[in-house]
Amino acid sequence: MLITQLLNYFYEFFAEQLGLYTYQNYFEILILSFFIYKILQWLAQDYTKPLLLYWYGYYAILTISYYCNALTLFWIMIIASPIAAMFILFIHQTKLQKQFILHSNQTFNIQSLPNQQWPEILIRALLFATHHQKQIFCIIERNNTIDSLLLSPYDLNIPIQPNVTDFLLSSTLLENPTIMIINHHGFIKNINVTWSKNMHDHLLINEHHTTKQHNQEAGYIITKKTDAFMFHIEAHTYLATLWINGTIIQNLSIDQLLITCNEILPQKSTDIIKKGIFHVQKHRNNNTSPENY
Amino acid sequence: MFKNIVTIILHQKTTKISALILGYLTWFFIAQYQNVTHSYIIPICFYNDENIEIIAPQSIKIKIQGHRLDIFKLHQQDLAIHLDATSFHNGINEIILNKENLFLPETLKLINLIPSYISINVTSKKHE
Repeated sequence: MLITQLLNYFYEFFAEQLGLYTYQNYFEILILSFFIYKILQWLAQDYTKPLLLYWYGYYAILTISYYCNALTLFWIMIIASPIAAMFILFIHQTKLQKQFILHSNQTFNIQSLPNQQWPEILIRALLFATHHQKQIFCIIERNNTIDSLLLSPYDLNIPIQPNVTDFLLSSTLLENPTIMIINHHGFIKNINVTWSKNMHDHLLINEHHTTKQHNQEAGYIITKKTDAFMFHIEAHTYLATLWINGTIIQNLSIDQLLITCNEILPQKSTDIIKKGIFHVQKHRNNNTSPENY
Repeated sequence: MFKNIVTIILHQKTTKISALILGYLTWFFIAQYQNVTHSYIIPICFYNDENIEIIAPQSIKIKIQGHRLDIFKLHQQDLAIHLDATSFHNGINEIILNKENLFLPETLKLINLIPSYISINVTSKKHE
Protein backbone atom coordinates (compact mmCIF):
# COMPACT_ATOMS: atom_id res chain seq x y z
CA MET A 1 0.00 0.00 0.00
CA LEU A 2 2.77 2.39 1.04
CA ILE A 3 4.86 1.38 -1.98
CA THR A 4 1.93 1.99 -4.33
CA GLN A 5 1.39 5.41 -2.77
CA LEU A 6 5.06 6.19 -3.07
CA LEU A 7 5.14 5.06 -6.71
CA ASN A 8 2.08 7.16 -7.46
CA TYR A 9 3.69 10.13 -5.81
CA PHE A 10 6.85 9.74 -7.90
CA TYR A 11 4.80 9.18 -11.04
CA GLU A 12 2.87 12.40 -10.43
CA PHE A 13 6.05 14.27 -9.51
CA PHE A 14 7.93 13.24 -12.66
CA ALA A 15 4.86 13.83 -14.84
CA GLU A 16 4.52 17.34 -13.46
CA GLN A 17 8.22 18.26 -13.35
CA LEU A 18 9.73 16.35 -16.27
CA GLY A 19 6.83 15.58 -18.62
CA LEU A 20 7.15 11.80 -18.20
CA TYR A 21 3.64 10.48 -18.57
CA THR A 22 4.08 6.80 -19.38
CA TYR A 23 6.46 4.04 -18.40
CA GLN A 24 7.62 3.85 -22.01
CA ASN A 25 9.09 7.35 -21.56
CA TYR A 26 11.34 6.09 -18.76
CA PHE A 27 12.42 3.17 -20.92
CA GLU A 28 13.23 5.46 -23.85
CA ILE A 29 15.32 7.76 -21.66
CA LEU A 30 17.24 4.86 -20.14
CA ILE A 31 18.09 3.45 -23.57
CA LEU A 32 19.14 6.89 -24.86
CA SER A 33 21.21 7.52 -21.73
CA PHE A 34 22.95 4.18 -22.18
CA PHE A 35 23.99 5.03 -25.73
CA ILE A 36 25.04 8.53 -24.72
CA TYR A 37 27.08 7.07 -21.86
CA LYS A 38 28.88 4.76 -24.29
CA ILE A 39 29.61 7.72 -26.60
CA LEU A 40 30.88 9.80 -23.67
CA GLN A 41 33.12 6.95 -22.55
CA TRP A 42 34.49 6.64 -26.08
CA LEU A 43 35.13 10.36 -26.33
CA ALA A 44 36.82 10.42 -22.92
CA GLN A 45 39.43 7.98 -24.21
CA ASP A 46 40.95 10.67 -26.40
CA TYR A 47 43.73 12.16 -24.32
CA THR A 48 44.84 14.51 -27.06
CA LYS A 49 41.67 16.63 -27.31
CA PRO A 50 38.97 17.52 -24.78
CA LEU A 51 36.19 16.05 -26.93
CA LEU A 52 33.99 15.38 -23.91
CA LEU A 53 34.03 19.07 -23.04
CA TYR A 54 33.08 19.95 -26.64
CA TRP A 55 30.15 17.55 -26.37
CA TYR A 56 29.00 19.05 -23.07
CA GLY A 57 29.44 22.52 -24.55
CA TYR A 58 27.23 21.65 -27.52
CA TYR A 59 24.49 20.37 -25.22
CA ALA A 60 24.85 23.40 -22.96
CA ILE A 61 24.31 25.79 -25.89
CA LEU A 62 21.39 23.67 -27.09
CA THR A 63 19.71 23.70 -23.67
CA ILE A 64 20.36 27.39 -23.01
CA SER A 65 19.02 28.36 -26.45
CA TYR A 66 15.90 26.30 -25.80
CA TYR A 67 15.17 27.82 -22.40
CA CYS A 68 16.01 31.34 -23.62
CA ASN A 69 13.58 30.88 -26.51
CA ALA A 70 16.39 31.38 -29.03
CA LEU A 71 14.58 28.93 -31.27
CA THR A 72 16.49 29.71 -34.47
CA LEU A 73 19.77 28.82 -32.80
CA PHE A 74 18.12 25.80 -31.16
CA TRP A 75 16.80 24.37 -34.45
CA ILE A 76 20.03 25.15 -36.31
CA MET A 77 21.91 23.19 -33.65
CA ILE A 78 19.42 20.31 -33.76
CA ILE A 79 19.66 20.12 -37.56
CA ALA A 80 23.43 20.53 -37.48
CA SER A 81 23.92 17.78 -34.87
CA PRO A 82 24.76 15.06 -37.47
CA ILE A 83 27.38 17.44 -38.92
CA ALA A 84 28.74 18.03 -35.40
CA ALA A 85 28.86 14.25 -34.86
CA MET A 86 30.81 13.83 -38.09
CA PHE A 87 33.13 16.63 -37.01
CA ILE A 88 33.79 14.89 -33.68
CA LEU A 89 34.51 11.65 -35.56
CA PHE A 90 36.91 13.59 -37.76
CA ILE A 91 38.73 15.09 -34.77
CA HIS A 92 38.69 11.72 -33.04
CA GLN A 93 40.15 9.86 -36.03
CA THR A 94 43.71 9.81 -34.69
CA LYS A 95 42.44 8.03 -31.62
CA LEU A 96 40.43 5.61 -33.73
CA GLN A 97 43.51 4.89 -35.81
CA LYS A 98 45.52 4.32 -32.66
CA GLN A 99 43.11 1.60 -31.58
CA PHE A 100 42.97 -0.04 -35.00
CA ILE A 101 46.74 -0.03 -35.41
CA LEU A 102 47.35 -1.48 -31.96
CA HIS A 103 44.80 -4.25 -32.40
CA SER A 104 46.14 -5.26 -35.79
CA ASN A 105 49.73 -5.44 -34.55
CA GLN A 106 49.18 -7.67 -31.55
CA THR A 107 50.24 -11.07 -32.86
CA PHE A 108 52.71 -12.93 -30.71
CA ASN A 109 53.81 -16.48 -30.45
CA ILE A 110 54.77 -18.05 -27.18
CA GLN A 111 58.48 -18.33 -28.02
CA SER A 112 58.84 -14.63 -28.73
CA LEU A 113 57.17 -13.43 -25.54
CA PRO A 114 59.42 -11.56 -23.14
CA ASN A 115 60.29 -12.79 -19.70
CA GLN A 116 57.64 -12.42 -17.05
CA GLN A 117 60.01 -10.26 -15.01
CA TRP A 118 60.80 -7.90 -17.85
CA PRO A 119 60.33 -4.70 -15.75
CA GLU A 120 62.98 -5.96 -13.34
CA ILE A 121 65.34 -6.87 -16.20
CA LEU A 122 64.78 -3.51 -17.84
CA ILE A 123 65.41 -1.50 -14.69
CA ARG A 124 68.51 -3.52 -13.91
CA ALA A 125 69.84 -2.83 -17.41
CA LEU A 126 68.96 0.85 -17.05
CA LEU A 127 70.82 1.04 -13.75
CA PHE A 128 73.81 -0.54 -15.41
CA ALA A 129 73.64 2.05 -18.21
CA THR A 130 73.10 4.88 -15.72
CA HIS A 131 76.19 3.76 -13.86
CA HIS A 132 78.07 4.37 -17.13
CA GLN A 133 76.71 7.93 -17.23
CA LYS A 134 74.05 7.24 -19.87
CA GLN A 135 70.84 9.17 -19.53
CA ILE A 136 68.01 7.03 -20.78
CA PHE A 137 64.39 8.17 -20.91
CA CYS A 138 62.24 5.09 -21.03
CA ILE A 139 58.69 5.42 -22.41
CA ILE A 140 56.30 2.55 -21.77
CA GLU A 141 53.54 2.50 -24.33
CA ARG A 142 50.23 1.11 -23.13
CA ASN A 143 46.90 1.14 -25.02
CA ASN A 144 47.49 4.30 -27.07
CA THR A 145 50.14 4.15 -29.74
CA ILE A 146 52.61 7.01 -29.52
CA ASP A 147 54.11 6.53 -32.97
CA SER A 148 52.74 9.83 -34.26
CA LEU A 149 54.56 11.73 -31.50
CA LEU A 150 57.99 10.21 -32.04
CA LEU A 151 60.42 9.58 -34.86
CA SER A 152 62.39 6.41 -34.68
CA PRO A 153 65.40 5.65 -36.87
CA TYR A 154 64.66 1.90 -36.83
CA ASP A 155 62.17 -0.59 -35.41
CA LEU A 156 63.50 -3.24 -33.08
CA ASN A 157 60.56 -5.16 -31.54
CA ILE A 158 62.88 -7.24 -29.38
CA PRO A 159 61.50 -8.93 -26.27
CA ILE A 160 63.32 -7.79 -23.16
CA GLN A 161 65.91 -10.37 -22.15
CA PRO A 162 68.82 -9.87 -19.73
CA ASN A 163 71.78 -10.09 -22.09
CA VAL A 164 70.17 -8.47 -25.11
CA THR A 165 69.05 -5.41 -23.16
CA ASP A 166 72.50 -4.96 -21.61
CA PHE A 167 74.08 -5.36 -25.04
CA LEU A 168 71.76 -2.74 -26.54
CA LEU A 169 72.29 -0.21 -23.77
CA SER A 170 76.04 -0.60 -23.78
CA SER A 171 76.28 0.04 -27.50
CA THR A 172 78.43 2.99 -28.57
CA LEU A 173 75.75 3.89 -31.09
CA LEU A 174 73.41 4.75 -28.25
CA GLU A 175 72.90 8.51 -28.08
CA ASN A 176 73.23 10.29 -24.76
CA PRO A 177 70.61 11.26 -23.62
CA THR A 178 68.43 8.80 -25.47
CA ILE A 179 64.78 7.88 -25.60
CA MET A 180 63.69 4.29 -25.63
CA ILE A 181 60.18 2.99 -26.33
CA ILE A 182 58.92 -0.21 -24.79
CA ASN A 183 55.39 -1.55 -25.14
CA HIS A 184 53.45 -2.92 -22.20
CA HIS A 185 54.06 -6.49 -23.35
CA GLY A 186 57.78 -6.05 -22.72
CA PHE A 187 59.09 -5.47 -26.25
CA ILE A 188 61.73 -2.86 -26.96
CA LYS A 189 60.15 -1.11 -29.91
CA ASN A 190 62.60 1.68 -30.68
CA ILE A 191 65.76 3.25 -29.40
CA ASN A 192 67.50 6.57 -30.15
CA VAL A 193 64.07 8.05 -30.72
CA THR A 194 63.47 11.77 -31.33
CA TRP A 195 60.33 13.83 -30.86
CA SER A 196 58.25 14.33 -33.99
CA LYS A 197 56.99 17.63 -35.41
CA ASN A 198 53.61 16.89 -33.82
CA MET A 199 55.30 16.96 -30.45
CA HIS A 200 57.39 20.06 -31.18
CA ASP A 201 54.18 21.99 -31.84
CA HIS A 202 53.30 21.48 -28.16
CA LEU A 203 56.73 22.22 -26.73
CA LEU A 204 57.83 25.58 -25.41
CA ILE A 205 61.54 24.82 -25.54
CA ASN A 206 63.11 25.41 -28.91
CA GLU A 207 66.49 24.00 -28.01
CA HIS A 208 68.06 20.99 -29.56
CA HIS A 209 65.75 18.04 -29.15
CA THR A 210 68.18 15.80 -27.29
CA THR A 211 68.62 17.93 -24.20
CA LYS A 212 67.51 16.53 -20.88
CA GLN A 213 65.22 19.47 -20.17
CA HIS A 214 63.59 19.02 -23.56
CA ASN A 215 62.91 15.36 -22.84
CA GLN A 216 61.47 16.19 -19.44
CA GLU A 217 59.00 18.66 -20.91
CA ALA A 218 58.11 16.26 -23.71
CA GLY A 219 57.62 13.52 -21.13
CA TYR A 220 55.07 15.65 -19.36
CA ILE A 221 53.18 16.27 -22.60
CA ILE A 222 53.27 12.72 -23.92
CA THR A 223 51.98 11.29 -20.65
CA LYS A 224 49.27 13.92 -20.48
CA LYS A 225 48.05 13.28 -24.00
CA THR A 226 48.33 9.49 -24.05
CA ASP A 227 48.18 6.72 -21.47
CA ALA A 228 51.91 6.05 -21.84
CA PHE A 229 54.26 6.64 -18.92
CA MET A 230 57.90 7.58 -18.84
CA PHE A 231 60.73 7.29 -16.35
CA HIS A 232 64.32 8.30 -16.05
CA ILE A 233 67.00 7.35 -13.53
CA GLU A 234 69.37 10.09 -12.36
CA ALA A 235 73.00 9.14 -12.71
CA HIS A 236 74.20 10.89 -9.53
CA THR A 237 71.46 9.97 -7.10
CA TYR A 238 70.10 6.74 -8.56
CA LEU A 239 66.65 8.10 -7.92
CA ALA A 240 63.99 7.89 -10.58
CA THR A 241 61.56 10.43 -11.98
CA LEU A 242 58.26 9.11 -13.26
CA TRP A 243 55.89 10.91 -15.62
CA ILE A 244 52.37 9.55 -15.64
CA ASN A 245 49.04 11.13 -16.68
CA GLY A 246 50.76 14.50 -16.94
CA THR A 247 52.03 14.22 -13.37
CA ILE A 248 55.70 14.17 -12.41
CA ILE A 249 56.74 12.00 -9.47
CA GLN A 250 60.29 12.75 -8.45
CA ASN A 251 62.88 11.08 -6.25
CA LEU A 252 61.46 7.59 -6.42
CA SER A 253 63.73 4.85 -5.20
CA ILE A 254 64.38 2.02 -7.62
CA ASP A 255 62.21 -0.26 -5.54
CA GLN A 256 59.35 2.24 -5.59
CA LEU A 257 59.76 2.64 -9.34
CA LEU A 258 59.58 -1.11 -9.85
CA ILE A 259 56.50 -1.44 -7.64
CA THR A 260 54.82 1.46 -9.45
CA CYS A 261 55.63 -0.02 -12.87
CA ASN A 262 54.20 -3.38 -11.85
CA GLU A 263 51.04 -1.68 -10.56
CA ILE A 264 50.53 0.34 -13.74
CA LEU A 265 51.28 -2.45 -16.19
CA PRO A 266 48.55 -5.01 -16.95
CA GLN A 267 48.57 -8.32 -15.12
CA LYS A 268 51.00 -10.67 -16.73
CA SER A 269 49.61 -13.81 -18.31
CA THR A 270 49.77 -16.81 -16.03
CA ASP A 271 49.89 -19.44 -18.72
CA ILE A 272 53.53 -18.83 -19.48
CA ILE A 273 55.66 -21.20 -17.45
CA LYS A 274 58.01 -19.47 -15.08
CA LYS A 275 61.62 -20.36 -15.77
CA GLY A 276 62.99 -19.68 -12.33
CA ILE A 277 63.47 -16.77 -9.98
CA PHE A 278 65.61 -13.98 -11.26
CA HIS A 279 68.53 -12.66 -9.37
CA VAL A 280 66.97 -9.20 -9.13
CA GLN A 281 63.72 -10.56 -7.79
CA LYS A 282 65.50 -12.80 -5.32
CA HIS A 283 67.39 -9.86 -3.84
CA ARG A 284 64.65 -7.26 -4.08
CA ASN A 285 63.29 -7.87 -0.61
CA ASN A 286 66.69 -7.83 1.00
CA ASN A 287 68.37 -4.88 -0.68
CA THR A 288 66.56 -1.88 -2.05
CA SER A 289 69.47 0.45 -2.75
CA PRO A 290 70.23 0.87 -6.46
CA GLU A 291 73.87 -0.12 -6.07
CA ASN A 292 72.86 -3.67 -5.26
CA TYR A 293 71.09 -4.26 -8.57
CA MET B 1 40.69 25.58 -10.08
CA PHE B 2 39.77 25.08 -13.76
CA LYS B 3 41.77 21.84 -13.82
CA ASN B 4 39.82 20.57 -10.78
CA ILE B 5 36.51 21.35 -12.43
CA VAL B 6 37.61 19.56 -15.60
CA THR B 7 38.74 16.56 -13.52
CA ILE B 8 35.34 16.41 -11.82
CA ILE B 9 33.54 16.72 -15.17
CA LEU B 10 35.61 13.93 -16.68
CA HIS B 11 35.12 11.61 -13.70
CA GLN B 12 33.39 8.28 -14.34
CA LYS B 13 30.49 8.96 -11.94
CA THR B 14 29.92 12.43 -13.36
CA THR B 15 29.83 10.89 -16.84
CA LYS B 16 27.10 8.48 -15.72
CA ILE B 17 24.99 11.25 -14.22
CA SER B 18 25.52 13.56 -17.17
CA ALA B 19 24.62 10.72 -19.58
CA LEU B 20 21.28 10.45 -17.78
CA ILE B 21 20.73 14.21 -17.96
CA LEU B 22 21.75 14.37 -21.63
CA GLY B 23 19.56 11.33 -22.34
CA TYR B 24 16.59 13.12 -20.82
CA LEU B 25 17.35 16.38 -22.67
CA THR B 26 17.73 14.58 -26.01
CA TRP B 27 14.50 12.73 -25.43
CA PHE B 28 12.70 15.90 -24.37
CA PHE B 29 13.90 17.93 -27.37
CA ILE B 30 12.72 15.22 -29.74
CA ALA B 31 9.52 14.26 -27.94
CA GLN B 32 8.20 17.74 -27.19
CA TYR B 33 5.90 17.79 -30.26
CA GLN B 34 4.65 14.25 -29.76
CA ASN B 35 0.92 13.91 -29.14
CA VAL B 36 0.37 12.51 -25.68
CA THR B 37 -2.64 11.85 -23.50
CA HIS B 38 -2.63 12.53 -19.80
CA SER B 39 -5.24 12.22 -17.06
CA TYR B 40 -5.86 14.68 -14.25
CA ILE B 41 -8.17 14.67 -11.27
CA ILE B 42 -9.53 18.19 -11.04
CA PRO B 43 -11.94 19.93 -8.65
CA ILE B 44 -15.42 21.25 -9.47
CA CYS B 45 -15.82 24.94 -8.71
CA PHE B 46 -18.99 27.04 -8.62
CA TYR B 47 -19.38 30.79 -9.08
CA ASN B 48 -22.39 33.07 -8.32
CA ASP B 49 -23.30 30.69 -5.49
CA GLU B 50 -23.66 33.15 -2.61
CA ASN B 51 -27.34 32.41 -1.85
CA ILE B 52 -27.47 28.69 -2.36
CA GLU B 53 -26.08 25.57 -0.80
CA ILE B 54 -24.71 23.00 -3.17
CA ILE B 55 -24.07 19.34 -2.58
CA ALA B 56 -21.98 18.00 -5.44
CA PRO B 57 -19.02 15.71 -6.19
CA GLN B 58 -15.68 17.19 -5.17
CA SER B 59 -13.70 16.27 -8.27
CA ILE B 60 -13.79 14.52 -11.61
CA LYS B 61 -11.22 12.82 -13.81
CA ILE B 62 -10.36 14.31 -17.19
CA LYS B 63 -8.22 13.05 -20.04
CA ILE B 64 -6.42 15.62 -22.21
CA GLN B 65 -4.53 15.18 -25.47
CA GLY B 66 -1.99 17.54 -27.01
CA HIS B 67 1.66 18.18 -27.68
CA ARG B 68 3.83 17.03 -24.80
CA LEU B 69 5.19 20.54 -24.44
CA ASP B 70 1.70 22.05 -24.09
CA ILE B 71 0.67 19.45 -21.56
CA PHE B 72 3.96 19.96 -19.71
CA LYS B 73 3.27 23.69 -19.47
CA LEU B 74 -0.22 23.06 -18.13
CA HIS B 75 -0.31 22.93 -14.35
CA GLN B 76 -2.82 20.75 -12.56
CA GLN B 77 -3.49 23.53 -10.03
CA ASP B 78 -4.81 25.73 -12.85
CA LEU B 79 -7.36 23.17 -13.96
CA ALA B 80 -10.95 23.03 -12.63
CA ILE B 81 -14.51 22.55 -13.87
CA HIS B 82 -16.20 25.95 -13.55
CA LEU B 83 -20.00 25.97 -13.22
CA ASP B 84 -22.27 29.01 -13.07
CA ALA B 85 -24.69 28.55 -10.18
CA THR B 86 -27.28 31.10 -11.47
CA SER B 87 -28.71 28.54 -13.88
CA PHE B 88 -29.38 26.04 -11.09
CA HIS B 89 -32.84 25.49 -9.64
CA ASN B 90 -33.68 24.11 -6.23
CA GLY B 91 -33.48 20.37 -5.98
CA ILE B 92 -31.54 17.89 -8.10
CA ASN B 93 -29.80 19.35 -11.19
CA GLU B 94 -28.35 17.03 -13.84
CA ILE B 95 -25.45 18.81 -15.51
CA ILE B 96 -23.59 17.64 -18.61
CA LEU B 97 -19.95 18.70 -18.45
CA ASN B 98 -18.06 19.81 -21.54
CA LYS B 99 -14.91 21.59 -22.72
CA GLU B 100 -16.41 25.06 -22.10
CA ASN B 101 -16.52 24.34 -18.35
CA LEU B 102 -12.82 23.65 -18.33
CA PHE B 103 -11.29 26.81 -19.93
CA LEU B 104 -8.73 24.64 -21.65
CA PRO B 105 -6.09 26.23 -23.97
CA GLU B 106 -6.96 25.82 -27.66
CA THR B 107 -3.88 23.71 -28.35
CA LEU B 108 -5.21 20.98 -26.07
CA LYS B 109 -8.05 18.60 -26.76
CA LEU B 110 -10.40 17.18 -24.14
CA ILE B 111 -10.73 13.46 -24.75
CA ASN B 112 -12.79 12.29 -21.84
CA LEU B 113 -14.58 13.34 -18.67
CA ILE B 114 -15.34 10.78 -16.00
CA PRO B 115 -18.17 11.20 -15.10
CA SER B 116 -19.39 13.24 -18.07
CA TYR B 117 -22.45 14.42 -16.16
CA ILE B 118 -23.02 15.11 -12.48
CA SER B 119 -26.01 15.42 -10.19
CA ILE B 120 -26.08 18.49 -7.97
CA ASN B 121 -28.44 19.02 -5.09
CA VAL B 122 -29.21 22.74 -4.67
CA THR B 123 -30.99 24.34 -1.71
CA SER B 124 -31.56 28.00 -0.92
CA LYS B 125 -29.73 29.41 2.09
CA LYS B 126 -31.99 30.41 4.99
CA HIS B 127 -31.50 34.12 5.87
CA GLU B 128 -31.06 34.70 9.62
